[in-house]
Amino acid sequence: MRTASKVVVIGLDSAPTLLLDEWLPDLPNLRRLAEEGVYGPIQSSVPPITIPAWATFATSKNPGKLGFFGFRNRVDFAYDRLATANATSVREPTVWQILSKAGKRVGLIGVPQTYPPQPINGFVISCFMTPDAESQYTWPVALKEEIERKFGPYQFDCKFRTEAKARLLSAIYEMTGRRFRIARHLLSSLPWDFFMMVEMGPDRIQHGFWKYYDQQHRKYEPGNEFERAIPSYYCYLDREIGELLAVAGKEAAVIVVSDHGAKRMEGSFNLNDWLIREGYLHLAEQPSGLQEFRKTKVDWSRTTAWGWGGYYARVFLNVAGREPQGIVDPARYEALRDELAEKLRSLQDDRGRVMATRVIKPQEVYTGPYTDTAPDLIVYLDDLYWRASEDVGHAGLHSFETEIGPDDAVHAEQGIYILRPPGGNGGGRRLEGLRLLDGGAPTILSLFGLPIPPDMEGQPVLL
Amino acid sequence: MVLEKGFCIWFTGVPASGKSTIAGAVEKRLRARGVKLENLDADEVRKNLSPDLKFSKEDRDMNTKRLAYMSMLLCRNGVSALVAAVASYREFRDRARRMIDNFVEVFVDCPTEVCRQRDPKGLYARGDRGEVNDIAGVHQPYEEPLDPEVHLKTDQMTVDEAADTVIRRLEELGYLPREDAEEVYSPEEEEKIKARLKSLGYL
Repeated sequence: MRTASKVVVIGLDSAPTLLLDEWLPDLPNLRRLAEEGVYGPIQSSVPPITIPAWATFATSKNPGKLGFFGFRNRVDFAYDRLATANATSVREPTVWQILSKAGKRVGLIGVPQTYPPQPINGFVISCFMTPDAESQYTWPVALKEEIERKFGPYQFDCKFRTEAKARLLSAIYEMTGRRFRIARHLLSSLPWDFFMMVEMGPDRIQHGFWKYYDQQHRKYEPGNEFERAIPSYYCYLDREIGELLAVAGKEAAVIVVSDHGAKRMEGSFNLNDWLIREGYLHLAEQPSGLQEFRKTKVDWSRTTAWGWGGYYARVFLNVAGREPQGIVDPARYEALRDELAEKLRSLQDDRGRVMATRVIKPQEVYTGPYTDTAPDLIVYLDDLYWRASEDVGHAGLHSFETEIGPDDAVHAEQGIYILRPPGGNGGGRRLEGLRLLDGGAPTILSLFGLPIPPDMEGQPVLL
Repeated sequence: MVLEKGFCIWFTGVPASGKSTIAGAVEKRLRARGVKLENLDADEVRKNLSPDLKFSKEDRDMNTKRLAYMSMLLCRNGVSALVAAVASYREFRDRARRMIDNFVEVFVDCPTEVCRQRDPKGLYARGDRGEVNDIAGVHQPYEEPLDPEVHLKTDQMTVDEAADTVIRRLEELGYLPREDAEEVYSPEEEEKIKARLKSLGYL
């Protein structure tokens, strides 16, 4: 394989395999990349969430080595000491740090876990985990002023919590358009060898509009006005990508990748309410209605397990000698895990159907020093079709009207991957078995003809 | 750590306010983080590079210009510079700020009475005896910074507290990556991020 002098990575957060399987004919630029290269579905991390998925792509390390398993993570085994993952949480070298040290000029825009921006041989505009535009969100420091002068205040994300869908839609387009304009500007005005941007628009539009598109969604209504919102957005995205690649130049190798996919949401399962019913979780005070778990007084002296929600569920055990008021005998730890796993796998949905719930022990999927600080059980309720709520005080175990807003899409374990090498002679082959561990750092280093550190867990994608 | 461009921290303040002491403590912390730097102590530079210069305004002008120029050369090659120099006139420091991209002015602020008591080099004693008549803040003006990046009141804090304050400011300004992942977000910022994540269904 010819080495590349330039590599561009276009990340489309949450872009689903539908893009490759159904939409590609309508996406001329992406289709051309696939025809000139290789492509296929790509396996995300465990769990398939923005954090740690993008870090897995960037470092080729699994979460057992990275030490974070989602946006928020326990700092230690205390009940309520949590930290929000950010750039400094990534202690393994990222591909851009390696390239930077090797003298390559790198540019990053919106790559998750780049706030606060770290010094690099190039430029960084940080991601949506930036508090706001008042924060120091660029490297070099002076870049922030330059961007704001040319493009106005930077938009990290959209205000999501709204039923005003038309407004949300135009906000997503505006955010995307602005980011691509800034990308084209920086690519044409600054020297670079490696450029990576992650567009969050796909994730936002899917969380907000999936029910209008997916005919199998419980809330789908035929003939609704937003039925084509998602595919139309991807057509727009394809045009932006085409313009970006025109600026990047023909000699650049191109990777288009998503950190995970998306699929319809069936509902929200009230995990902690279930743990209360089953006698694992005990509250010191009964909630007077719906209540956030972190604001709930738990009776730790009687609690054996509690959970966290989101697009995947985590269950923690209250272990004696590990948690401050742990009561589970370490000798009974495995038996209790198995017991919970069995019950979780037997959970039924609102229609009495046994869900295809997967329960994963971190020791089964992780290697590295943080394996034992991972959640005791990683749970994909009904194969991720059901998200989990950790709030307590619901009327039942299954909820459909969530107070938060998005009730449309959940994550799927497979995202998309397209690799167009320099010269474009990939032959348009579809590959199976790709993983984020492979498609990121090892492949990018290989494209530059640089050695791959032996402790990287993936292999470069072969052409 | 290789930075594209270094930063220059200029510690300004009257004699015996604590400039060199704090610069030394900051240097230690930065070296521990692998930052390439040079500590341009004004006394050392004077001795080695400018033995002819004394303390008239013209001489101070030339001395600070030389310090700023050296800092600029270092910074543009990725080496950071620490300068502990009185630089008593604002125009001296403003010139340095114009010459150097990443400029951090630290006002080492200490009341003259406390400086007199410290007097590690016996300068104020000599001034009292009439042996010198060009001490900034006593015989000559010292123009306090109007908008320094850091303002340290060194009669009210320890050397360690002062050095930590400087380091924290470097992190806030983005010149130094934060060491501690848990301290990246203030409580208010964390709530903002959490609200954003919750509205997206991630929490």
